[in-house]
Amino acid sequence: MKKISLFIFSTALLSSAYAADTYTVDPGHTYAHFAVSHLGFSTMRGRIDSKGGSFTIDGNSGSVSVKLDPASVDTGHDKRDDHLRSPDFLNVVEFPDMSYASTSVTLTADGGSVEGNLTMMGKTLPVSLDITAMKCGEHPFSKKPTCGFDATTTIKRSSFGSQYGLPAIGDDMQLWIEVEGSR
Amino acid sequence: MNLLNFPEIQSGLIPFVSSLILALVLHSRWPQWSALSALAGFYIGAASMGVLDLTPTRSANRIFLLGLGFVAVGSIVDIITNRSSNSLIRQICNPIGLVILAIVISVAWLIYSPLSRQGGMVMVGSLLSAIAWSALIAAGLLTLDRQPIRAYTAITFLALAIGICTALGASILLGQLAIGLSASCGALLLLTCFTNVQRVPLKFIAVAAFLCAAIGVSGVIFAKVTWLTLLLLAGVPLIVRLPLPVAWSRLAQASVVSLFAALAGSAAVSLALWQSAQSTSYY
Repeated sequence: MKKISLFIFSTALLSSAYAADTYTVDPGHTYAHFAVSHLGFSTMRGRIDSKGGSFTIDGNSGSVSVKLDPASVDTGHDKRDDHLRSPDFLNVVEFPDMSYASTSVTLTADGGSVEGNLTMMGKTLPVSLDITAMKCGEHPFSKKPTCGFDATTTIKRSSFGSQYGLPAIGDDMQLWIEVEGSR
Repeated sequence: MNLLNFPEIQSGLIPFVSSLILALVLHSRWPQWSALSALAGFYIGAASMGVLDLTPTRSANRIFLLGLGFVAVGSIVDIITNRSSNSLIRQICNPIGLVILAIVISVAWLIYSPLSRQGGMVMVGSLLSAIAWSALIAAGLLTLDRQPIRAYTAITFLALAIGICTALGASILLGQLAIGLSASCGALLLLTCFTNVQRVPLKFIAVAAFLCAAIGVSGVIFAKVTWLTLLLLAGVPLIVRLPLPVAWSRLAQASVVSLFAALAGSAAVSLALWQSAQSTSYY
């Protein structure tokens, strides 16, 4: 009986040592960038800051959940940013939360893919991300185990309810999400 | 090139023409049914902007649905006010007062959710300002029901000024909605100049007053319009009451009342323009 208890205890210890690693998102190094066509003449780019989140790496799989702050939208032009915050686009007063939560993650040697749901302007729709770069290791300054990845996708803003200016202002919204977190 | 994608078509031509055609088709039942053609014009214009999407629930959707609700409220009030003045129901309550109350409650409900996230004195101050302004607009417009030229002129210019101020603030979409309402009512103002209508149905004024109040307050909460701008806009339903010679033709009366309304509206637009000019514009 004593031997069985010891076996169970040691198995539990061993499994916790190899359990999925959960990282807390560093908002200072986590953000989303976007690009939308402006009347077909040029591409307007902007940035949305992160409010936090976490991700887990478990071998070749894992999970990710990131919260974004649409009120922080910054395209380098105050008046345009006010317009982007209005009901014409991000409607930040009514929908102050924007988030992405994965349903499945597949990691490969050169990146991987994420299936999940993007919530924006009060609508939640499935969106797939392609991981284009990923690195894990010890942070050179904090000495904490740290992981980061870049992911990209393209969504249609009209499907989230933003109809303003279509089709002159592009419907396709390219997104780049850069995430960094530490344990 | 799709003409329907142009804002001038969506919030100008479509509501104006739709409203005018429907009013002419329904002219035999003027003014009870023709006044509703302005609302149809407004909703057709909104549909052409692609904003009549009912999910997710947002303030614009609530404005559209509540606007339709006020058709029912206004219809009931019309029935009550058309009865004799000593009917029991009129002795118990003032129907116009009830509509004003309904408009104030609806506008407060519309903005309560986003304001509650801000909390504190900002929420209380904004809520009280919204209630006071909605009541002022509703009372100012609803009491013009026996003066059709003044009523249609006030709504046309008030909605136009709200639309311009909101577009100058931050939301062109909300601005377009108000301008669409203005274009719809403008069609009825034009027809009223050539008819002998003596009264505007309350079902129409109730909806128009609610839409003006709701879009104006939404402009402050969502699109950087200031309360001072709204205060100046509240002068529109008041200034149209300035006396005019009774002998004048309806067209002459409408022209002069329009000048009065444009004067009050342009004061608010000038303020919004000045505030907008503080930051660099873009297109």
